[in-house]
Amino acid sequence: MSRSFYNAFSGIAAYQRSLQQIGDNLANLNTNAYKRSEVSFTELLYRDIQERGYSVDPAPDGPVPFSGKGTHMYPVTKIFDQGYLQETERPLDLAIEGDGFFRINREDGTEAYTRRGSFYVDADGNIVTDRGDYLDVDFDLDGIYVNTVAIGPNGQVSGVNEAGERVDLGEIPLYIFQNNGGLSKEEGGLFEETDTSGAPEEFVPGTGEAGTLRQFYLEGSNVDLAAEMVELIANQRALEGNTRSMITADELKALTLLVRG
Amino acid sequence: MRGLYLSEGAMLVQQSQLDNISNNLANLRTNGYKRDHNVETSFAEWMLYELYPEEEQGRNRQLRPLGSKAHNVATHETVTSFAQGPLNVTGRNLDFALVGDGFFQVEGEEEVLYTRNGRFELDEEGNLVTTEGYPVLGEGGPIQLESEEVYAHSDGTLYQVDEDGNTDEIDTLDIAVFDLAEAGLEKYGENYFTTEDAPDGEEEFEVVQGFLEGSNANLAREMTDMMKVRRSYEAAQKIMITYDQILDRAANELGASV
Repeated sequence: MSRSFYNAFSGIAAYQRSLQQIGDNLANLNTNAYKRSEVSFTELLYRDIQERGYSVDPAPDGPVPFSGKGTHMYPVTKIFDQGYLQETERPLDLAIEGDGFFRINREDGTEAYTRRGSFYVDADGNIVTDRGDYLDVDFDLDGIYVNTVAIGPNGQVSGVNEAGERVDLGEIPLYIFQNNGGLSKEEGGLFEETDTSGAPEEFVPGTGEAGTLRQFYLEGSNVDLAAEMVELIANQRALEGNTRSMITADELKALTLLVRG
Repeated sequence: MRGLYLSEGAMLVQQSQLDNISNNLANLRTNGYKRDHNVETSFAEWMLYELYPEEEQGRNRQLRPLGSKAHNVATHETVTSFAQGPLNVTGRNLDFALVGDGFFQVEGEEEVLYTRNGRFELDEEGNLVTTEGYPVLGEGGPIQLESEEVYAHSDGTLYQVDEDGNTDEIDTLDIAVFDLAEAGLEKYGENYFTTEDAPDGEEEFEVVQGFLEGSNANLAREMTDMMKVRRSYEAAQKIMITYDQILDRAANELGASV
């Protein structure tokens, strides 16, 4: 098989993967706190074409003719840009304006981080996610009327108890990482710490780069429909271009066979 | 018989041309990619002579030159076009594009590598690195940043705001400008170039933050070139078939009894 086949194949494989990724982004256009993935590509190595059996006649001491080996998609990059804020009127909906994450304690005892701030109260008064994982705070809402819960931009939580008094309950801390791009993506909008992300650093909301909390709001997806459509078109056309070069490479082989057809 | 080899040579040259076109097409979306194309040359050129008619032949005048004839065609050179690629907005703080001449310099494993792909990130220690993890070089060596909040001036100077709200100059991206016709820049793979020559060109560039330079391979151009390859290959194939038919006649009909 000629080099062109493999070049075309590498292009088709790369653009298929990138189209899947763009499809993922588009599917999550309305997923709260979804962080879009960005695709990028790199070229592969180059080789002297004489080694491939082509006749060459370079200038004396001049550069030798070469050709490349196609393309390759880099691992996708998560882009942690702020999503827009949507008003919801639910007291346990929290949006983070800034770089921080909530810490979540899962059933199996492991920790994860999320920016999806849609919380609920379970039968014991714990603040939980829609999947039943616990928000990592040192208080609960046992005996507090949920509709009276007030959460300040600085993370301070208060609520009205059964005696009808407003009491301070505690605070919701935020965590930031040196390198968000290194976080490992899990299901349900959760992220896990890795060696590349660095260890999380705890902040009181409103300090450092953690950002502030906005009660009654949720963070929307940071996928931009127009930008994704542009990517979709460009990648689809690139895929088609590579299909054409595969067809042409095949036609050349067919023409060769037809010499004695 | 020569015609057979000539048409084969023409087919191989077109095949090699297609290898580069297909590589350009594969890298349509590769940031900082520079397209390649082959330049062909006639190969083993000979002079053709004919004998003078007998009555005109004198001493030393038996042969009359008719012109030159190439015995084959070969790939002479693969030319990389360093034309500017399109600027695509990304909004990422650590994406940089160069407008005009020059290359970003990074510290490869063994040597300094040059690239037009300004997609950088921070590693665990805060070093500005490429996707492959090669440190990006500033005028003061590898660049270290406090965070991704960095601002670039068009001359490549990087600024960060410190905790007290003061703007500090961190370093300046060290852009290498070459005289492209003289410098032997070779493709290294993964969007890098190498050369043994030192940068010496005139500095005419602008660093643009939040943008990446796209591939300078262009779909329409590559498709047009591919059609040319396809038809040239077909023409060579027709010549090969014709020679085959001539040889068939010579072998089977010329000597056959009528």
